[in-house]
Amino acid sequence: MNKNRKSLLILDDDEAVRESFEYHFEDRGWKVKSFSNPQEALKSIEEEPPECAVIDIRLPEMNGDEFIREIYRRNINLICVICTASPEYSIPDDISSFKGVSNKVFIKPVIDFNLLEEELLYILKQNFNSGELNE
Amino acid sequence: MEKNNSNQTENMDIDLNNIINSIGDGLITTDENGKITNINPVAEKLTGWKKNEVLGTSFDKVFNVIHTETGQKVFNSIKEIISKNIRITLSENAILISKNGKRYYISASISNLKDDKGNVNGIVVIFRDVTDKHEMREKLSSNEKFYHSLFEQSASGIVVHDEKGNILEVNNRFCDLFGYTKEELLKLNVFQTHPPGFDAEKKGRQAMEQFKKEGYTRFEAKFITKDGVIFDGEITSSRIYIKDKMIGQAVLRDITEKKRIEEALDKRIYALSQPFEQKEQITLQELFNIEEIQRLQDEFAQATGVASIITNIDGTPITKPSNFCRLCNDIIRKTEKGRINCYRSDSMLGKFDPKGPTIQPCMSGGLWDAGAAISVGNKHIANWLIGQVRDDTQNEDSIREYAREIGADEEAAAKAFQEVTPMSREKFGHIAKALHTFANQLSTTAYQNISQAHFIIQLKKAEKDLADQKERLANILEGTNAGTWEWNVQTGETIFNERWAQIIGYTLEEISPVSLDTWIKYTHPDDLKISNDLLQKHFDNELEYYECEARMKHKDGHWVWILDRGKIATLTEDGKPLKMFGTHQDITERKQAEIELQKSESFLLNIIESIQDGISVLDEELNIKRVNSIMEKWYEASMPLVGKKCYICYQSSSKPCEPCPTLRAFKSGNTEFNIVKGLEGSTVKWIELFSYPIKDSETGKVTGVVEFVRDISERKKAEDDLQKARNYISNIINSMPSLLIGIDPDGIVTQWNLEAERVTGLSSNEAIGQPLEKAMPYFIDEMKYVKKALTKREKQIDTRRPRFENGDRRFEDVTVYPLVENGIDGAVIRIDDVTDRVRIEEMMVQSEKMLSIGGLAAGMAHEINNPLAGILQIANVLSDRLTNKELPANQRTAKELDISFDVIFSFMEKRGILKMLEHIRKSGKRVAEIVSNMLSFARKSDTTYSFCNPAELLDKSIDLASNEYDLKKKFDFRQIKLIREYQRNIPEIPCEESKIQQVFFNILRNGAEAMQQKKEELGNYEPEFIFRINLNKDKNMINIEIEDNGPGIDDVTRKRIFEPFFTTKPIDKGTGLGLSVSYFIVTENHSGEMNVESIPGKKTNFIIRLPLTRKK
Repeated sequence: MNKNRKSLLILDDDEAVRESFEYHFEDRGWKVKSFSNPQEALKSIEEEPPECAVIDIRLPEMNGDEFIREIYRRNINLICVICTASPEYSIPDDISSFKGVSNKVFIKPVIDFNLLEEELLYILKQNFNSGELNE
Repeated sequence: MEKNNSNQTENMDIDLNNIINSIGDGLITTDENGKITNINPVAEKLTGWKKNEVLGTSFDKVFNVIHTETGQKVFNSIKEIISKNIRITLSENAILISKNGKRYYISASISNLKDDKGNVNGIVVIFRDVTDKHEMREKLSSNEKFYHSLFEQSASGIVVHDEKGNILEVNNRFCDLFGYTKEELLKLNVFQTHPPGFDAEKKGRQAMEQFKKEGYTRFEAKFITKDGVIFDGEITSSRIYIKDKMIGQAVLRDITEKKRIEEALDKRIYALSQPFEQKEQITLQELFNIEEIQRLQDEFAQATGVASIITNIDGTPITKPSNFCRLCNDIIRKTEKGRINCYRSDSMLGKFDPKGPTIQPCMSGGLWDAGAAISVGNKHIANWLIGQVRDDTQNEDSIREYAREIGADEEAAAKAFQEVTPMSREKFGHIAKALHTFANQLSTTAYQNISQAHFIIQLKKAEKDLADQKERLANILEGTNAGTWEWNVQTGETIFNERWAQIIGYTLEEISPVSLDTWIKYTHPDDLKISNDLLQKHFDNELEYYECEARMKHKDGHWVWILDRGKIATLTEDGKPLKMFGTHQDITERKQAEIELQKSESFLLNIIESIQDGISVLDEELNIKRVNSIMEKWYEASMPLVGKKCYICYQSSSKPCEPCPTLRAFKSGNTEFNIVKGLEGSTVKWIELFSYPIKDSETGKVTGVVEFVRDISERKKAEDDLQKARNYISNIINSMPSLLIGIDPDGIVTQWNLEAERVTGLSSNEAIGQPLEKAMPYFIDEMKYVKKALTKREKQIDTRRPRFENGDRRFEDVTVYPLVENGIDGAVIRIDDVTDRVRIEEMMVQSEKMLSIGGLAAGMAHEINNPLAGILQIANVLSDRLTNKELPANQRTAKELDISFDVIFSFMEKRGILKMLEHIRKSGKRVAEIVSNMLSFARKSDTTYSFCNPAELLDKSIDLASNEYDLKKKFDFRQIKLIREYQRNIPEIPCEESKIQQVFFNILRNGAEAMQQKKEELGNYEPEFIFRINLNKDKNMINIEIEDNGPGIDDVTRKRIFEPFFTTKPIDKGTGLGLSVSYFIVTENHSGEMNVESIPGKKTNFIIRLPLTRKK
């Protein structure tokens, strides 16, 4: 739509979950790209990096943690919120030190999408204020 | 303590085994089937079977025993003995046939083995090899027969008697002497063979004393036969030892004959010293040869010229007249008157007058006559007359006158008168005096002749007596089987009898010629020396008899012990010993018995010395007679012991102790026993004292006591320790929290500890002796375990047995231990209240349940959450896209399709889509909640703790709960009365704040809901919460209580309330995990405690305790 549209990348191998996020954020004006495969997601990010991402942890070939490390290794400052179905999951220390990664982990099922959206916007705003955003 | 006991028992077993193995007797034991269970080394040797061969085999096979006489088996089967429960004693009349056929004479005792209950469970046989003993007896028996025949055949009466004179044996001759039967005599005493009223019995008793003292006696005394005939006898008695007992063998000789002779001799000697008048007439003719006397008379008459004649004392002539004148011979004596006058005159002339001859005119013719008496002793036996001479006194006229008077021829008489020899009175007087001397000499000669004759007769008699006596003595010696010897001490000449040689295995001929050297040759040098010493003493009159025991070399080379006895019979003129007579008796057997006795004595002494217990022998005055070395060691301080009073040595006391078993033993005659203290300062602190009385075998009187002293200090100490241990154990038992009840096999209470008293309210005094079911009625259901334990002898356990106490349900573990060891029968019952443990266990089970749920949830949460996310999140988007009028995308899409979104919304609403979507969301949310709660049970290691004030936490939770309920309008929390009873200055506790809040919240929600329910039911009801917080210093915890006055919970619910998925709420109101999660949080995550108490219908109180410090 316009240049102000915030961009979001969904990385989740469960189709229903992926679609639910995709539809919700699209309905709310986000520019959403979704991937089930981390490599494809990486490729897309290389080509056109989005502002935010919702990352699942258990993924084929490469897990969510590794994916985030890979992004930051490539010096891409992506806003990330981790959303996993594993309740026992906790964010590794190195990842939580990344500025764009939210320390709040969303456990699926995400009952209230608004909370997730608020978190994304909150971190986006923080990073924007600190001027470290890619833009 | 128990351990020590079992060690002691073990030691005792070892000791017993050692004893069994080391006893000299054979020992076999069997089980009840007659199978051998034990056999000791001696039994192995005798039976020829080895232990490892016989264990388990039949006793009959191994113990093969037959009767000595019948040859039959002694018993057919061992089972007989076992079944009959009898005891069999075989005394040397049995033969054991060993495995290899060897025969042993045995004595044996077979008796049953019994168990504690008295049932026969086998037998024990103890037996002993008596073969040697048996053979010895056989040999002895044949010896005895030999001696017996000697005894019976002896010519002298022989009686065997004991020290008291009781007749033990007599031979036939002895019976004959007395006219008694043997049986009658055996009931008599030797003193009864003397007649009463004489001093014979006294003599006998004196002799007995001498016999006892010196071993030999000889005496003469009166004896009386059964018919009352008294006779003289001589007893020679000598000592014999039989089995250590002194008995006498007396030889009785009838000496009536000897006695008579002796009496006769005495009479004659007496007679000879008395005047002859008292005796019968002795004539001159008997004393002299008359012819010799006639010649003497004739020659005297011729030489002197006088007439002479010897007449009897009455005047009758003995001899023929010599040189008689015609006047007297042919004229006067031819007339009757004249002859009578002549005899009368002659007898007058011979009147005894020791002073001189009688001279007077003849009372017949008136011629001168003279006469002298001949006498023996004072006995006048004859007259010797001379005369018929004339002098101036006679004339022819007086002759003529006398002739006329007597009627003779006057003329012839006158003529004959002239022929008569004239002689002067003086000359005739000389001749008469010579006659007197002559007659006196004749008298003396006659006396000597008679004495001589008497002496000769006496001598002859005595010689005969001596010969008789000698023969009898020889008989006696023969009877006593003694060798004899005669020894001329001066010449060394010796005479031995046959037996002398026989004793040493020779004939007399073999060792002849004999001399003193023969004795020296065969006698042991050592004994010879002793013999010589003793002989010398006898010679020196120090010893009345010579008596010596000596060894002589037998022909076969062994030594024979002989008893050599003798006495000097005659002395030389200068008083040196001349002849000596003696005997040899073979005393080898006695000597060997003595040596054996000495050996066995020294053996006994060794035993006494080797015994590690003290032995002390006391006399009646409690003087110590003998002790062994152990006593000397123990009472070294009192040494020397012998001769002193026991109480001085052993107790340092000045008077007999109390109690004293020895004094009692003297009194009772039985073995007495006491445990007494040892001597002060000695190592022997306590002693066990046995006093065995020593009895006189004859009188039965206790003459002494053997004290058997055992040091039991160790044992006593052990006993004291045991007593202490018992007290200690008893204390323990009483202080134990368990009920401990001891019972006997009949179920009667024998022990009852304090806890049992407390629980039952019955004191131990009341309980002991009662049947268990009476003492503890509620226990009746458990009796089957008690019975089972007693019969099966196995421990019985009944766990978690429920019991109600004051309406409270308690749990008990009941254990019944049978007492099977140490000979105690019965059982011990232990009852433990395990209510607390049971409850804790129940809670632990719950925790385990929760943990497993947590583990499960952790594993599957991801797998559930992903599809659940698909459902829920899609449902969210669906709801958003179908119902959200505000969403621009919805409006835009509706516009593109020329449909009003309102219409779509209305459709959805009318078709209930919205509601259905809401259901999906709600159900999905519940699933998510369950998964999330289940995950709470998973242990988390990295939970973060912070210090919080428990009161603040509780208040926050109360606020939260009131908001929630306000919001949902289910219950108006503000209507609930809230009472806070918080202790001041409660310290902060380490906790995970949100979790603890969750716990409080759960409880508050449950309580509120329950009270709401109650209010709905009752209407008139004021709900209230009471909150209490206080410090539990003991547990180092904070107590937090949340109490409501709701409906309460019943026991069943209360017990399960923390179980996961347990709920009393309707299916849609709660997951059944709230309280269990809370419990988990408190107990597992915070190491706290969580309980619930309730009075149904009144209140419920949740108690949470959280530790003040964090536990790892």
